Amino acid sequence: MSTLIPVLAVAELFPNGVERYAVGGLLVGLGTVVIYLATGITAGASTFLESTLSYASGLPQLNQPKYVASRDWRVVFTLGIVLGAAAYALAFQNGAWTTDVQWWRLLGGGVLVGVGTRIGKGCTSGHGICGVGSLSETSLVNVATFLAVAVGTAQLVQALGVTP
Amino acid sequence: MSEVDQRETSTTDERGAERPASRDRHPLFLPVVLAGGLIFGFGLAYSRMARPEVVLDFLQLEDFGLLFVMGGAAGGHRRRVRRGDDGPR
Repeated sequence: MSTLIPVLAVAELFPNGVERYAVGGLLVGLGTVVIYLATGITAGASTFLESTLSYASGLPQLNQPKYVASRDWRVVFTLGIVLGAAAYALAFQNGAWTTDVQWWRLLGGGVLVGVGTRIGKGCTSGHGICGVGSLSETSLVNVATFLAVAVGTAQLVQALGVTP
Repeated sequence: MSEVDQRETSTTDERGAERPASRDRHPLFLPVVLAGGLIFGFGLAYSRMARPEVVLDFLQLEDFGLLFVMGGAAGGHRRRVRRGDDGPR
């Protein structure tokens, strides 16, 4: 009887259970592991922007060797992520995701995330998975910072009564 | 999978000059990256993290499940990879 109360409290924190989250997370980690073990690459997603722009642009800052040398696999990696998610959407739900969040909020948020990943030199994939997984102090600080700022922002916006 | 052994995005010759290594990749290099991306994307979708509403529920502290996505991903990465580089690129 005495163990019932903590169990209920935990259930309240996870109204949708944890299994889907945990299994999905393990698969995400497995994807980066496959790439790391086979190639030694830390599979970050966000550098895709500069490296792909280097195909079309002559700007020297976009044509640094690190972008030109990695642009092919970055395109393939990104394509794989989109196709993998599409495979799930087609196989296990009726087509693409929809959201009630307004498009301009998604766009604005995406731009801010993009700028942040460039300043922070990594994203949820590079810092959040590979960096935290390898206990990089830089990545731990990065992830703790962006999580704290994101939670704070969400709380603030919610308190102001903004709806998605 | 060690037959696809190609380190990072560039190599350094004996004088320390960087040169792109994209030319002499193993033929399975890109297919392996694609496979990793497919697993990654499928897992992201399966975890429901691809839905903005799920992320909002997490950030508004109503459903902490996303901790398990990050934990599972980083933990899975750690278990199989002993020590990576100092950070992502």
